[in-house]
Amino acid sequence: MNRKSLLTIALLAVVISALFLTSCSNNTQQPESNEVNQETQDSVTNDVVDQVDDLLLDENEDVEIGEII
Amino acid sequence: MKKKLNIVLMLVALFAVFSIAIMPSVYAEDNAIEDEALKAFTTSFGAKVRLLQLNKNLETQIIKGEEVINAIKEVKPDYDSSELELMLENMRALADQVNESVSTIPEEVNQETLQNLASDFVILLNESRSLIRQFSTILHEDFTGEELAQIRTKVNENAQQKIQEKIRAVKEMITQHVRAHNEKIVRAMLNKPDVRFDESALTNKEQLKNQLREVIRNQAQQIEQIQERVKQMRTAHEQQLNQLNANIAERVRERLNAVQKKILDKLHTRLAQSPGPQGGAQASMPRRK
Repeated sequence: MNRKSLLTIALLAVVISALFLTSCSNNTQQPESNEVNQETQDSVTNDVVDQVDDLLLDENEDVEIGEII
Repeated sequence: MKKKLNIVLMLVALFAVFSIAIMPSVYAEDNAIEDEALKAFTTSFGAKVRLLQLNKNLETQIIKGEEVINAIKEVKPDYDSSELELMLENMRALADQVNESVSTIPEEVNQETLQNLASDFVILLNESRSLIRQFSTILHEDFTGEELAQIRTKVNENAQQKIQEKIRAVKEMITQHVRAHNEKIVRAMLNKPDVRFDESALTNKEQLKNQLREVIRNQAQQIEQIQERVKQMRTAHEQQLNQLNANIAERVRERLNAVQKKILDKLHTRLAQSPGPQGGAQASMPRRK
């Protein structure tokens, strides 16, 4: 095996390792990104629902008029 | 003589100016207290809910009042309860007036009608509170602590069952209108006229909000449209409330006489129909100093 072939193999190994490491890193980052998206969505949802709080009624609310005794 | 007349006229004018100046501030204070209750006066269902809640509580106090008078006959047999009985008649006339207001509310109402209903509600609520306060004050002035305790025990023994029977139908109507009001709001919010929620959730705000969160999560791609609709609904709601608060003192002044006349008419009719100890007596309330 000549020197040129060895260099090519070494280069290929580096490229494959880099690709492997990148894919591993993406795999570990993906859930974090999903979590962030989910949190944002939950926060927007909560915000929207809180904004209609004033518009909704509850059957347990009441009108106070006092007690005669 | 002329000088004296001028002084009297000046005093009358000053009194009139003072009354006109003070009236809006009195109602403004009431409005601050009633802000929470008035929030419901943005749909016909909400208006019905508040008036029915007032009716329910008034009917409860009327039954308690009747039982108080029955108990007095045993605890203090020589006591003249005609003043208390006249107050009860006033409360019944008020309850009739509240019922009449509820029965005339159409399903679709305009801003003008909602403002009139809110003004009527404020008047009827204040009248109810005032009568109940007066009734309670007389009891505390004329009876000892021990006598009051005996009366209270008898009222608690006898009134509960009657109250439950009397207000059952009203409570059901309140539930029904709370459900209709909330359904209208969430359907408008989601722009889904056929969206279904649990019956129990539609009357319980926290449960409904939890279900809404679930529905919105499932419609994540439409979140921006929902946000926009909620924004528009809030703006419309706040405009309605601002308009209501801005006009209520004026409207309360306008409608006070009409509402009081109706209540007095009902009281006269009641007294004419049922001659009690003060049958056919004057409808006006004897006021203590």
